[in-house]
Amino acid sequence: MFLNSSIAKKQTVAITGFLLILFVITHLGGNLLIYAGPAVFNSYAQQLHSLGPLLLIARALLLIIFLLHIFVIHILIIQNIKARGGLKRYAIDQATGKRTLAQRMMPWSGLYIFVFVVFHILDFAAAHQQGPRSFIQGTSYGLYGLVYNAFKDPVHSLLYIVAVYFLGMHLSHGVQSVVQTWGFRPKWADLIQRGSNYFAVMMVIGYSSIPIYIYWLSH
Amino acid sequence: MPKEINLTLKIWRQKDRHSPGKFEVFKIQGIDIDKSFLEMLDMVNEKLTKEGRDPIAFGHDCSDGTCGACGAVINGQPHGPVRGSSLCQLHIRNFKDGETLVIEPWRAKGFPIIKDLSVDRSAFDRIISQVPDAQALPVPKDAQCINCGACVAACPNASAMLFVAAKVSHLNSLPAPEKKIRMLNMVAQMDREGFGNCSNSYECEAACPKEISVVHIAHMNKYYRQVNLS
Repeated sequence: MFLNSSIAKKQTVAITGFLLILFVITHLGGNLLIYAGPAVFNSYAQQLHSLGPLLLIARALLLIIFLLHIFVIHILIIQNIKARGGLKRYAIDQATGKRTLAQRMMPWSGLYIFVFVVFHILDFAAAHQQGPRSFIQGTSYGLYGLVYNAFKDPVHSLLYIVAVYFLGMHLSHGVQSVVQTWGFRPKWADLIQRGSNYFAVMMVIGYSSIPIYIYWLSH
Repeated sequence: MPKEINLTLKIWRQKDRHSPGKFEVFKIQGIDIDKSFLEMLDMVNEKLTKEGRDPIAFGHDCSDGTCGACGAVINGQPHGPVRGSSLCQLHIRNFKDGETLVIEPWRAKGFPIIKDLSVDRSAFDRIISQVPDAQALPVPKDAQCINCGACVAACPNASAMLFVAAKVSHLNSLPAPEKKIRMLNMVAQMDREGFGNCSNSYECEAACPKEISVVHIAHMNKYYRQVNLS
Protein backbone atom coordinates (compact mmCIF):
# COMPACT_ATOMS: atom_id res chain seq x y z
CA MET A 1 0.00 0.00 0.00
CA PHE A 2 1.33 3.44 -0.97
CA LEU A 3 0.76 4.82 2.52
CA ASN A 4 3.63 2.69 3.84
CA SER A 5 6.23 4.36 1.67
CA SER A 6 7.54 7.83 2.41
CA ILE A 7 8.37 8.55 -1.24
CA ALA A 8 5.02 7.28 -2.53
CA LYS A 9 3.21 9.50 -0.02
CA LYS A 10 5.32 12.50 -1.06
CA GLN A 11 4.58 11.79 -4.70
CA THR A 12 0.86 11.62 -3.94
CA VAL A 13 1.09 15.07 -2.36
CA ALA A 14 3.04 16.25 -5.42
CA ILE A 15 0.59 14.95 -8.02
CA THR A 16 -2.49 16.20 -6.15
CA GLY A 17 -0.64 19.48 -5.63
CA PHE A 18 0.02 19.68 -9.37
CA LEU A 19 -3.66 19.11 -10.17
CA LEU A 20 -4.62 21.79 -7.66
CA ILE A 21 -2.16 24.17 -9.33
CA LEU A 22 -3.97 23.53 -12.64
CA PHE A 23 -7.24 24.37 -10.89
CA VAL A 24 -5.77 27.57 -9.43
CA ILE A 25 -4.80 28.68 -12.97
CA THR A 26 -8.19 27.80 -14.52
CA HIS A 27 -10.11 29.39 -11.66
CA LEU A 28 -8.15 32.61 -12.10
CA GLY A 29 -8.89 32.54 -15.83
CA GLY A 30 -12.63 32.41 -15.08
CA ASN A 31 -12.45 35.02 -12.35
CA LEU A 32 -10.64 37.54 -14.55
CA LEU A 33 -13.76 37.67 -16.77
CA ILE A 34 -15.12 40.02 -14.10
CA TYR A 35 -13.21 42.76 -15.94
CA ALA A 36 -15.47 42.15 -18.95
CA GLY A 37 -18.52 43.24 -16.93
CA PRO A 38 -21.54 41.54 -15.33
CA ALA A 39 -23.03 40.10 -18.56
CA VAL A 40 -19.90 38.17 -19.62
CA PHE A 41 -19.03 37.11 -16.07
CA ASN A 42 -22.52 35.79 -15.31
CA SER A 43 -22.90 34.03 -18.65
CA TYR A 44 -19.58 32.23 -17.98
CA ALA A 45 -20.96 31.10 -14.60
CA GLN A 46 -24.21 29.99 -16.24
CA GLN A 47 -22.35 28.06 -18.92
CA LEU A 48 -20.48 26.21 -16.19
CA HIS A 49 -23.74 25.40 -14.44
CA SER A 50 -25.37 24.23 -17.68
CA LEU A 51 -22.81 21.41 -17.76
CA GLY A 52 -24.98 19.76 -15.09
CA PRO A 53 -23.68 16.31 -14.15
CA LEU A 54 -20.30 17.03 -15.75
CA LEU A 55 -19.80 19.96 -13.38
CA LEU A 56 -20.87 17.76 -10.49
CA ILE A 57 -18.26 15.14 -11.42
CA ALA A 58 -15.58 17.81 -11.84
CA ARG A 59 -16.43 19.28 -8.44
CA ALA A 60 -16.42 15.85 -6.78
CA LEU A 61 -13.02 15.04 -8.32
CA LEU A 62 -11.64 18.38 -7.21
CA LEU A 63 -12.89 17.75 -3.68
CA ILE A 64 -11.32 14.28 -3.61
CA ILE A 65 -7.98 15.66 -4.86
CA PHE A 66 -8.09 18.48 -2.30
CA LEU A 67 -8.92 16.15 0.60
CA LEU A 68 -6.34 13.54 -0.49
CA HIS A 69 -3.66 16.27 -0.59
CA ILE A 70 -4.55 17.31 2.97
CA PHE A 71 -5.01 13.76 4.28
CA VAL A 72 -1.63 12.49 3.07
CA ILE A 73 0.26 15.62 4.12
CA HIS A 74 -1.19 15.37 7.60
CA ILE A 75 0.19 11.80 7.93
CA LEU A 76 3.57 13.10 6.73
CA ILE A 77 3.58 15.99 9.21
CA ILE A 78 2.81 13.70 12.17
CA GLN A 79 5.60 11.33 11.09
CA ASN A 80 8.01 14.25 10.69
CA ILE A 81 7.33 15.58 14.18
CA LYS A 82 7.93 12.10 15.62
CA ALA A 83 11.10 11.66 13.54
CA ARG A 84 12.65 14.90 14.75
CA GLY A 85 11.74 13.99 18.34
CA GLY A 86 8.98 16.47 19.13
CA LEU A 87 8.20 20.08 18.31
CA LYS A 88 11.27 21.52 20.03
CA ARG A 89 14.58 20.28 18.66
CA TYR A 90 17.79 22.30 18.86
CA ALA A 91 18.30 25.04 21.44
CA ILE A 92 19.17 27.47 18.66
CA ASP A 93 16.96 27.38 15.58
CA GLN A 94 19.39 28.47 12.90
CA ALA A 95 19.11 27.24 9.29
CA THR A 96 22.20 25.63 7.81
CA GLY A 97 21.20 26.33 4.22
CA LYS A 98 18.73 28.59 2.47
CA ARG A 99 15.58 27.25 4.07
CA THR A 100 12.84 29.67 3.04
CA LEU A 101 10.03 31.16 5.09
CA ALA A 102 7.58 29.72 2.55
CA GLN A 103 8.94 26.23 3.24
CA ARG A 104 8.69 26.67 7.01
CA MET A 105 5.16 28.03 6.68
CA MET A 106 3.78 25.27 4.41
CA PRO A 107 1.52 23.63 7.04
CA TRP A 108 0.26 27.02 8.24
CA SER A 109 -0.31 28.54 4.81
CA GLY A 110 -2.04 25.27 3.91
CA LEU A 111 -4.27 25.44 6.96
CA TYR A 112 -5.23 29.06 6.20
CA ILE A 113 -6.02 28.11 2.60
CA PHE A 114 -8.19 25.21 3.80
CA VAL A 115 -10.22 27.39 6.17
CA PHE A 116 -10.45 30.06 3.47
CA VAL A 117 -11.71 27.59 0.84
CA VAL A 118 -14.57 26.48 3.11
CA PHE A 119 -15.48 30.14 3.72
CA HIS A 120 -15.09 31.01 0.03
CA ILE A 121 -17.46 28.21 -1.09
CA LEU A 122 -20.11 29.33 1.41
CA ASP A 123 -19.47 32.96 0.43
CA PHE A 124 -20.02 32.60 -3.34
CA ALA A 125 -20.68 29.16 -4.80
CA ALA A 126 -23.18 28.04 -2.14
CA ALA A 127 -24.81 31.46 -1.72
CA HIS A 128 -28.24 32.27 -3.18
CA GLN A 129 -27.30 33.80 -6.53
CA GLN A 130 -30.43 35.98 -6.79
CA GLY A 131 -30.62 36.68 -3.05
CA PRO A 132 -30.34 40.05 -1.28
CA ARG A 133 -26.53 39.97 -1.46
CA SER A 134 -26.68 40.00 -5.28
CA PHE A 135 -28.46 43.36 -5.51
CA ILE A 136 -26.70 46.46 -6.75
CA GLN A 137 -28.90 49.59 -6.54
CA GLY A 138 -32.13 47.60 -6.44
CA THR A 139 -31.38 45.14 -9.25
CA SER A 140 -30.06 41.59 -8.84
CA TYR A 141 -26.76 41.08 -10.67
CA GLY A 142 -26.47 37.37 -9.84
CA LEU A 143 -22.98 36.09 -9.06
CA TYR A 144 -21.45 39.38 -10.22
CA GLY A 145 -23.58 41.14 -7.61
CA LEU A 146 -22.42 38.75 -4.89
CA VAL A 147 -18.78 39.40 -5.74
CA TYR A 148 -19.37 43.15 -6.04
CA ASN A 149 -21.05 43.45 -2.66
CA ALA A 150 -18.48 41.22 -0.96
CA PHE A 151 -15.51 43.27 -2.15
CA LYS A 152 -17.21 46.62 -1.50
CA ASP A 153 -16.44 45.79 2.12
CA PRO A 154 -12.72 46.42 2.77
CA VAL A 155 -12.56 43.84 5.59
CA HIS A 156 -14.04 41.18 3.33
CA SER A 157 -11.58 42.14 0.58
CA LEU A 158 -8.65 42.05 2.95
CA LEU A 159 -9.58 38.53 4.05
CA TYR A 160 -9.35 37.44 0.41
CA ILE A 161 -6.10 39.27 -0.24
CA VAL A 162 -4.46 37.67 2.83
CA ALA A 163 -5.67 34.25 1.69
CA VAL A 164 -4.26 34.83 -1.78
CA TYR A 165 -0.95 35.94 -0.25
CA PHE A 166 -0.79 32.67 1.70
CA LEU A 167 -1.66 30.81 -1.49
CA GLY A 168 1.27 32.56 -3.17
CA MET A 169 3.61 31.49 -0.38
CA HIS A 170 2.32 27.94 -0.61
CA LEU A 171 2.85 27.94 -4.40
CA SER A 172 6.34 29.46 -4.31
CA HIS A 173 7.56 26.42 -2.39
CA GLY A 174 4.99 24.00 -3.77
CA VAL A 175 5.62 24.37 -7.51
CA GLN A 176 9.35 23.67 -7.32
CA SER A 177 8.66 20.97 -4.75
CA VAL A 178 6.39 19.14 -7.21
CA VAL A 179 9.22 19.15 -9.73
CA GLN A 180 11.80 17.83 -7.22
CA THR A 181 9.54 15.19 -5.65
CA TRP A 182 8.34 13.95 -9.01
CA GLY A 183 11.99 13.60 -9.91
CA PHE A 184 12.41 16.08 -12.75
CA ARG A 185 15.68 17.73 -11.93
CA PRO A 186 17.25 19.05 -15.07
CA LYS A 187 20.41 21.15 -15.25
CA TRP A 188 18.35 24.32 -15.04
CA ALA A 189 16.99 23.45 -11.59
CA ASP A 190 17.74 26.92 -10.20
CA LEU A 191 15.43 28.30 -12.85
CA ILE A 192 12.62 26.18 -11.43
CA GLN A 193 12.88 27.84 -8.03
CA ARG A 194 12.82 31.24 -9.69
CA GLY A 195 9.99 30.19 -12.01
CA SER A 196 8.10 28.91 -8.98
CA ASN A 197 8.43 32.33 -7.34
CA TYR A 198 7.38 34.21 -10.49
CA PHE A 199 4.36 31.96 -10.91
CA ALA A 200 3.35 32.56 -7.28
CA VAL A 201 3.67 36.34 -7.71
CA MET A 202 1.57 36.21 -10.90
CA MET A 203 -1.18 34.29 -9.11
CA VAL A 204 -1.12 36.71 -6.17
CA ILE A 205 -1.37 39.73 -8.48
CA GLY A 206 -4.06 38.12 -10.62
CA TYR A 207 -6.30 37.05 -7.77
CA SER A 208 -5.86 40.06 -5.52
CA SER A 209 -6.46 42.49 -8.39
CA ILE A 210 -10.15 41.52 -8.34
CA PRO A 211 -11.09 42.70 -4.82
CA ILE A 212 -8.96 45.82 -5.37
CA TYR A 213 -10.69 46.56 -8.69
CA ILE A 214 -14.17 46.02 -7.26
CA TYR A 215 -13.38 48.15 -4.22
CA TRP A 216 -12.17 50.92 -6.51
CA LEU A 217 -15.26 50.54 -8.75
CA SER A 218 -17.68 50.72 -5.83
CA HIS A 219 -16.20 53.76 -4.07
CA MET B 1 43.22 38.99 15.69
CA PRO B 2 44.39 37.49 19.00
CA LYS B 3 46.14 34.12 18.85
CA GLU B 4 44.04 32.92 21.73
CA ILE B 5 40.36 33.42 22.44
CA ASN B 6 37.86 32.71 25.21
CA LEU B 7 34.66 30.79 24.56
CA THR B 8 31.61 29.77 26.57
CA LEU B 9 30.47 26.26 25.71
CA LYS B 10 26.96 25.04 26.50
CA ILE B 11 27.32 21.30 26.01
CA TRP B 12 24.54 18.71 26.09
CA ARG B 13 25.15 16.12 28.81
CA GLN B 14 23.13 12.93 28.89
CA LYS B 15 24.08 9.82 30.84
CA ASP B 16 22.49 7.27 28.52
CA ARG B 17 19.70 6.77 26.00
CA HIS B 18 16.90 6.78 28.55
CA SER B 19 18.07 9.43 31.02
CA PRO B 20 16.94 13.02 30.58
CA GLY B 21 19.75 15.33 29.46
CA LYS B 22 20.65 18.94 30.18
CA PHE B 23 23.14 21.59 29.16
CA GLU B 24 26.33 22.10 31.14
CA VAL B 25 28.22 25.38 30.81
CA PHE B 26 32.03 25.51 30.46
CA LYS B 27 34.00 28.74 30.29
CA ILE B 28 37.18 28.06 28.33
CA GLN B 29 40.01 30.59 28.54
CA GLY B 30 42.90 31.04 26.13
CA ILE B 31 42.17 28.58 23.34
CA ASP B 32 44.73 28.67 20.52
CA ILE B 33 42.83 29.69 17.37
CA ASP B 34 44.79 27.13 15.33
CA LYS B 35 43.41 24.29 17.42
CA SER B 36 40.62 22.15 16.01
CA PHE B 37 37.20 22.02 17.56
CA LEU B 38 37.75 18.45 18.75
CA GLU B 39 41.08 19.42 20.35
CA MET B 40 39.16 22.01 22.32
CA LEU B 41 36.73 19.32 23.52
CA ASP B 42 39.83 17.28 24.52
CA MET B 43 40.96 20.27 26.61
CA VAL B 44 37.59 20.28 28.38
CA ASN B 45 37.81 16.54 28.95
CA GLU B 46 41.34 16.74 30.40
CA LYS B 47 40.08 19.26 32.90
CA LEU B 48 37.02 17.14 33.73
CA THR B 49 39.17 14.02 34.19
CA LYS B 50 41.57 15.86 36.52
CA GLU B 51 38.60 16.93 38.60
CA GLY B 52 37.45 13.32 38.75
CA ARG B 53 34.36 14.04 36.64
CA ASP B 54 32.90 12.20 33.71
CA PRO B 55 34.43 13.36 30.39
CA ILE B 56 32.17 14.39 27.46
CA ALA B 57 31.50 11.54 25.04
CA PHE B 58 31.85 12.47 21.36
CA GLY B 59 32.64 10.62 18.12
CA HIS B 60 36.04 11.10 16.48
CA ASP B 61 38.53 9.11 14.45
CA CYS B 62 40.36 10.20 11.30
CA SER B 63 40.57 13.99 11.88
CA ASP B 64 40.54 14.73 8.13
CA GLY B 65 36.88 14.46 7.23
CA THR B 66 36.90 11.05 5.60
CA CYS B 67 35.60 8.63 8.24
CA GLY B 68 32.31 10.27 9.26
CA ALA B 69 32.70 9.39 12.95
CA CYS B 70 32.54 12.92 14.29
CA GLY B 71 29.64 15.32 14.35
CA ALA B 72 27.77 17.66 16.64
CA VAL B 73 25.35 20.50 16.14
CA ILE B 74 26.84 23.93 16.91
CA ASN B 75 24.30 26.72 17.31
CA GLY B 76 21.75 24.75 15.30
CA GLN B 77 24.13 23.82 12.48
CA PRO B 78 25.48 20.26 12.04
CA HIS B 79 29.30 20.27 11.82
CA GLY B 80 29.24 23.98 12.68
CA PRO B 81 29.24 27.15 10.60
CA VAL B 82 31.74 26.18 7.86
CA ARG B 83 30.23 24.59 4.75
CA GLY B 84 31.66 21.47 3.13
CA SER B 85 33.66 20.33 6.13
CA SER B 86 33.13 18.00 9.06
CA LEU B 87 33.50 18.80 12.76
CA CYS B 88 37.09 17.51 12.94
CA GLN B 89 38.07 19.97 10.18
CA LEU B 90 36.56 22.92 12.02
CA HIS B 91 39.06 25.31 13.60
CA ILE B 92 38.66 27.67 16.53
CA ARG B 93 39.60 30.60 14.25
CA ASN B 94 36.07 30.38 12.84
CA PHE B 95 34.67 31.71 16.11
CA LYS B 96 34.81 35.12 17.73
CA ASP B 97 36.38 35.89 21.09
CA GLY B 98 33.75 35.74 23.82
CA GLU B 99 31.24 33.81 21.70
CA THR B 100 28.82 31.28 23.26
CA LEU B 101 28.53 27.96 21.43
CA VAL B 102 25.56 25.68 22.06
CA ILE B 103 26.75 22.15 21.31
CA GLU B 104 24.23 19.34 20.89
CA PRO B 105 24.13 15.83 19.49
CA TRP B 106 22.34 14.95 16.21
CA ARG B 107 18.68 14.90 17.21
CA ALA B 108 16.52 12.34 15.43
CA LYS B 109 14.37 9.39 16.42
CA GLY B 110 16.49 7.26 14.05
CA PHE B 111 19.69 8.21 15.94
CA PRO B 112 19.20 7.46 19.66
CA ILE B 113 21.66 9.22 21.96
CA ILE B 114 24.28 6.85 23.42
CA LYS B 115 25.84 9.44 25.70
CA ASP B 116 26.34 13.23 25.57
CA LEU B 117 27.21 14.11 21.95
CA SER B 118 27.53 10.53 20.78
CA VAL B 119 24.61 8.99 18.86
CA ASP B 120 23.82 5.51 17.62
CA ARG B 121 23.91 5.57 13.82
CA SER B 122 23.42 1.84 13.31
CA ALA B 123 20.21 2.67 11.41
CA PHE B 124 22.49 3.73 8.53
CA ASP B 125 24.30 0.38 8.72
CA ARG B 126 20.98 -1.45 8.48
CA ILE B 127 20.04 0.63 5.41
CA ILE B 128 23.40 -0.05 3.72
CA SER B 129 23.17 -3.74 4.58
CA GLN B 130 20.32 -3.93 2.05
CA VAL B 131 23.17 -3.87 -0.46
CA PRO B 132 25.44 -6.69 0.75
CA ASP B 133 28.24 -6.05 -1.75
CA ALA B 134 28.19 -2.24 -1.35
CA GLN B 135 31.91 -2.07 -0.61
CA ALA B 136 32.71 -3.55 -4.01
CA LEU B 137 30.72 -0.95 -5.96
CA PRO B 138 32.45 2.12 -7.42
CA VAL B 139 31.46 5.32 -5.61
CA PRO B 140 30.34 8.16 -7.88
CA LYS B 141 32.59 11.23 -7.57
CA ASP B 142 29.77 13.57 -6.58
CA ALA B 143 28.20 11.26 -3.98
CA GLN B 144 31.06 10.33 -1.67
CA CYS B 145 28.93 9.97 1.43
CA ILE B 146 30.85 9.27 4.64
CA ASN B 147 27.74 8.17 6.62
CA CYS B 148 28.13 10.96 9.19
CA GLY B 149 24.39 11.67 9.47
CA ALA B 150 24.60 15.47 9.24
CA CYS B 151 21.86 15.41 6.58
CA VAL B 152 19.44 13.86 9.08
CA ALA B 153 20.56 16.26 11.81
CA ALA B 154 20.02 19.28 9.53
CA CYS B 155 16.71 18.18 8.02
CA PRO B 156 13.74 19.81 9.78
CA ASN B 157 12.01 16.43 9.48
CA ALA B 158 15.05 14.28 10.34
CA SER B 159 14.75 12.67 6.92
CA ALA B 160 17.52 10.39 5.62
CA MET B 161 16.70 10.98 1.95
CA LEU B 162 20.06 12.52 1.01
CA PHE B 163 21.94 9.62 2.60
CA VAL B 164 19.79 6.99 0.89
CA ALA B 165 19.84 8.89 -2.41
CA ALA B 166 23.64 9.02 -2.35
CA LYS B 167 23.68 5.27 -1.77
CA VAL B 168 21.17 4.70 -4.58
CA SER B 169 23.40 6.67 -6.97
CA HIS B 170 26.11 4.31 -5.77
CA LEU B 171 24.10 1.37 -7.18
CA ASN B 172 24.28 2.61 -10.75
CA SER B 173 26.70 -0.04 -11.94
CA LEU B 174 24.38 -2.88 -10.92
CA PRO B 175 22.10 -4.60 -13.48
CA ALA B 176 18.63 -2.99 -13.60
CA PRO B 177 16.50 -5.68 -11.86
CA GLU B 178 18.90 -5.98 -8.95
CA LYS B 179 19.31 -2.22 -8.66
CA LYS B 180 15.54 -1.88 -8.50
CA ILE B 181 15.12 -4.35 -5.61
CA ARG B 182 18.04 -2.87 -3.67
CA MET B 183 16.65 0.64 -4.04
CA LEU B 184 13.19 -0.44 -2.84
CA ASN B 185 14.72 -2.31 0.10
CA MET B 186 16.83 0.67 1.16
CA VAL B 187 13.83 3.02 1.03
CA ALA B 188 11.72 0.52 3.01
CA GLN B 189 14.47 0.18 5.64
CA MET B 190 14.80 3.98 5.83
CA ASP B 191 11.06 4.19 6.60
CA ARG B 192 11.25 1.39 9.19
CA GLU B 193 14.04 3.21 11.03
CA GLY B 194 11.69 6.10 11.79
CA PHE B 195 13.33 8.83 9.71
CA GLY B 196 11.05 11.64 8.54
CA ASN B 197 9.86 12.61 5.07
CA CYS B 198 11.66 14.98 2.74
CA SER B 199 9.97 18.37 2.37
CA ASN B 200 12.54 19.89 0.04
CA SER B 201 14.02 22.45 2.40
CA TYR B 202 17.48 21.42 1.09
CA GLU B 203 19.11 21.89 4.51
CA CYS B 204 20.76 18.46 4.04
CA GLU B 205 22.97 19.46 1.12
CA ALA B 206 24.05 22.60 3.00
CA ALA B 207 25.10 20.53 6.03
CA CYS B 208 26.77 17.71 4.09
CA PRO B 209 30.57 17.80 4.62
CA LYS B 210 30.95 16.22 1.18
CA GLU B 211 28.50 18.70 -0.41
CA ILE B 212 26.36 15.99 -1.94
CA SER B 213 23.63 17.64 -4.01
CA VAL B 214 19.87 17.17 -3.62
CA VAL B 215 19.91 16.32 -7.34
CA HIS B 216 20.56 12.77 -6.09
CA ILE B 217 17.25 12.90 -4.22
CA ALA B 218 15.46 13.96 -7.42
CA HIS B 219 17.10 11.06 -9.26
CA MET B 220 15.96 8.63 -6.59
CA ASN B 221 12.43 10.10 -6.65
CA LYS B 222 12.34 9.62 -10.41
CA TYR B 223 13.64 6.09 -10.22
CA TYR B 224 11.18 5.23 -7.44
CA ARG B 225 8.28 6.64 -9.47
CA GLN B 226 9.31 4.69 -12.57
CA VAL B 227 9.60 1.46 -10.57
CA ASN B 228 6.30 2.09 -8.78
CA LEU B 229 4.35 2.86 -11.94
CA SER B 230 5.80 0.03 -14.02
